[in-house]
Amino acid sequence: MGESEASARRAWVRAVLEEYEGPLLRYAARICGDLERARDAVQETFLRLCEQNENGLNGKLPQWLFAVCRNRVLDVHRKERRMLAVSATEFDARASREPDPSVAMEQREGGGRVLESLACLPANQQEVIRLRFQNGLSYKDIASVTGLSASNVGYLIHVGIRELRERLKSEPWP
Amino acid sequence: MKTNLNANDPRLTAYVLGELDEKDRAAVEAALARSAELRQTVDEIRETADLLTSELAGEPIPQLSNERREAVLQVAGNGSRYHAGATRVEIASEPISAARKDMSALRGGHATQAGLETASASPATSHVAPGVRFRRSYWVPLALAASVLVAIGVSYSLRPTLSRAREFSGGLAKAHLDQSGRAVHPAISRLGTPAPIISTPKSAPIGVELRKTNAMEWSSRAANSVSPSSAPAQRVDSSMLASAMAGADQLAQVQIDLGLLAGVRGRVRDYDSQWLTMARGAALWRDGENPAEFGAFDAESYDQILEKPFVEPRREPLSTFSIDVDTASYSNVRRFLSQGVLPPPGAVRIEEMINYFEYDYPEPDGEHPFAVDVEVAECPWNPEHRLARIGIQGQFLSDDERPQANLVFLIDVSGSMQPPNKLPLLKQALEMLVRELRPDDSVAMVVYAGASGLVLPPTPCRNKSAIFAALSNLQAGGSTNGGAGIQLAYDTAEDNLIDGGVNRVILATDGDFNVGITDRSDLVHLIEEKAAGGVFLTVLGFGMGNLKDATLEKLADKGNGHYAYIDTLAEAEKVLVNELNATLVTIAKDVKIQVEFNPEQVAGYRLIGYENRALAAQDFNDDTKDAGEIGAGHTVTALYEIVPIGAPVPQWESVAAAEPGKVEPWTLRVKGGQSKSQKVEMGFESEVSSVYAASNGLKRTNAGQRMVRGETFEQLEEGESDDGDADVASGREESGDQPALSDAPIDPLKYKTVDELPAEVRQELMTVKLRYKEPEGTTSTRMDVAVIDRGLTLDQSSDDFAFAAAVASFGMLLRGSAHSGDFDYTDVRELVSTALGRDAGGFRAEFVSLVDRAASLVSRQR
Repeated sequence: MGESEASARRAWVRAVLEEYEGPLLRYAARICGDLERARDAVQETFLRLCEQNENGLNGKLPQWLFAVCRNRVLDVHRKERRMLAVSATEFDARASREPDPSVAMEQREGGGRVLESLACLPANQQEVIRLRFQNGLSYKDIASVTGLSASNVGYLIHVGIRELRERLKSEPWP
Repeated sequence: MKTNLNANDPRLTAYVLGELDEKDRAAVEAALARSAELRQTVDEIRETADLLTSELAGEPIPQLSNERREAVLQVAGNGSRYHAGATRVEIASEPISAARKDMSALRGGHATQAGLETASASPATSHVAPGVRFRRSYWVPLALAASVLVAIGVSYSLRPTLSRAREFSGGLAKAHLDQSGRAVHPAISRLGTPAPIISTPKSAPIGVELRKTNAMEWSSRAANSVSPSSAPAQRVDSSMLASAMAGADQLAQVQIDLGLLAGVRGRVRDYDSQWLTMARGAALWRDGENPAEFGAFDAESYDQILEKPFVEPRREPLSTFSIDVDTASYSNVRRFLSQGVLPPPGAVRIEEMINYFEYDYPEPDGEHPFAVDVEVAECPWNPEHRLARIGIQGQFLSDDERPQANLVFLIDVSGSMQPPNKLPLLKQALEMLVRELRPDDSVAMVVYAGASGLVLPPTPCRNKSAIFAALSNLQAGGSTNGGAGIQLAYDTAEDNLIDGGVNRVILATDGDFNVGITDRSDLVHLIEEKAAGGVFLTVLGFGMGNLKDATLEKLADKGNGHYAYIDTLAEAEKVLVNELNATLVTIAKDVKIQVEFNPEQVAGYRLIGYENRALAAQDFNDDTKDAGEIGAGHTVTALYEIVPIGAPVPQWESVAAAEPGKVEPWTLRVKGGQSKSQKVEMGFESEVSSVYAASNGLKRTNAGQRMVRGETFEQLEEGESDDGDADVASGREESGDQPALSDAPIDPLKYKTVDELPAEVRQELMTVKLRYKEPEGTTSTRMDVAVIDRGLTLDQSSDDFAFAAAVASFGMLLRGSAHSGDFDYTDVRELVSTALGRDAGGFRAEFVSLVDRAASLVSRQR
């Protein structure tokens, strides 16, 4: 690889890193609940990006990044699960219907009632909602990230939002 | 087309989100046209979607470590970490080669090192069989093993060697303290002077051996990794290491004490839980995990800001507010933008953004401690409107004119303060401050966490090395009890009180006051009481993810002090070195501004920003009402957008909810000239702010304004509903404990009998009245400035005027203000490019880059 090609590639990766490092980490940390593991996954995602052709990813960069990142997180998760002999049911139950008490307390302080309610949704709804509203991905993009169908994504988002509306309505405004 | 759509149809959500194709969209629209119920559902979906977007955007963003970034970029430069040319990897099927499997295992070793957030020159790659889970505490042997493997040639190009990676320290320097490239002195020296960090109950040595061993192991690891960290660009890490090194002894000590406590639990029950919390914090840190960092997710809090509508001077001729010299909002907004997110609207306080910058206003002539200058020109975002800029310049003080200082640093050393942009940055910032102090000044230091203690008794600055040593010994760990610490800090300041001097508590924290709500209002009362006794409070906010922005602003407000947010060393230098006198020396207190608008000239006006600084009209002449302070050399700027007579005044109307009897106070629309609707951000009041509201007079302000209207002028229709809503939505109506309304007289209106006035008075746009007290005074002095609009166009206005207007418009855009019309980021950019002026320090140029960043974020969202 020539010198100029190398520096062009580095500039590209650096730009992508700058733009997506934070969003990917935030997303990955949400999935695995562990910031250090999320960092592993995000770093690995960018390492894989280094092997990609910039033009080949034209127009589908965000979904590619989120998809690779998601797979990396889940890989680690699966591996850990095997190692720790945690049963699958227990793992799935971790996507709890109640927010972590300390998080909940903080959020009451901060007033983030929407986020507090969001934390009570099933994990798959939370995930697609975050991809949509935090990262601006379309239904189709989310489908390619999560492996769900686009209509399934639409259904999850719809049900999630309905649940949030109900929760926000059920408690009177202060 | 007849369709069967019910409220549970996912297409409704897809419709709101713009995800439908033409056919489905037509179907939904047809159904909506027929059903009010569906329309309401769609409105609610939209509202929830908007809420989600804005709340989720405010979530803190974690970062990769520099080492990890370096590693990636190095690989990017080499083409491939496998030396095998680029392989295309598809989303659906990623070929997993043997090499890649090795890589994932290898990555673990790498992560271990990065987790410590320290620097090591040895490549931290290790070769471990897949499936083996290693604990972070085995770091040293792993790293050694790794070096051996690397040495015998099992080498990948993924090597986060710091020497090569230094080229990458610009662009992404989010966590870097040296963002602006200024010289920074790592606090490596002054090690090994252990100071008693916290007073701890001592007793028989039980369990000492075990704890000590852990601490020793930890400290040896720290020592191991500190050796190569002398590269100049490694400032953050090395200073952190230095503190880690310095703290190793203390950590051992703390843990020994913990062992003791565990052994004598029954006797020290009161301390027990606090210490156990602290123990957890320390242990987690030792293992390279950062409890605060992840736990702090979601924890930032901001008050919601209600944007004020235009007011007609015929109905309400007086606008009264307290000045505000805080600048924290700007640095905080900068932090959000540099992390690639738009700030939550509640974090954008426009007056603080404007006041972040320096302006060249005329200096005072000696009669008053500050001068007032008013400039009126065309409003950039609405050429039909005028913009009036009120500029206040406080008198300058040279260093030797500054009175002797008695400073007490009150430092939060709770677990959440561990990240490099908190305690380590704080130490360096305070060190910079101490360097600026005169030998006759004195500094004391109080820390607070699970318990609080005096770590440095009042020490004259003749002996700065003792102060530096105490600073470098600070350690983070434990939960926060701000209340006890503040009490101790104030007591220390009062014991050492200097008459006529600068007596100040400097609170440095991320604002994580984990104390009960009652304590919080006690805290505010305490701060108010001490400010009355001559000890003022300055608040320095640090870090992210846990920042209680509104809490800190209010604390400083109550304590006659100001609040700055320190995100970089450059920012520390600006606040604590360049503006030291402004930070320390108050030249006037309780500075209030009241503007009377002339209805002959002004059809409508609105104050830009200062939403949480509004006062009732009668508060202006009431010397018992607290207001803002001006420090030496401070400038304060306030902007009014003015609708001249003849132009239509944009009106707000509240939109009643579809549900009868239920008011939706947060949906307001602009009618008249503009059709844009805005969701006014409010309603998510935290318990904290409700408590503050009870004690800080916000409620009184609202009620007071209404009463003024009721007594003096005819009732406002639009304004009334707006104000009432503000009370209901923020819960302040129920907060009780309402301070008595001021019965101070309101000045007779100058422009009320305008027909009888001389022609030159009738031409006046407005009169700006200021009241202030001398720092030790109890009665106020008043000054009046009459303002005439000379009809300046934007081109004729000064650079400072255009720049302040640009910052205001930027803030309005970030807030989603309905007042900004078609003005967009490109317009801000254009406006500011002609208004950079001298720009000493490059702060205005930095602002330009923030505008660009916000513009690109917004365009990406679309």
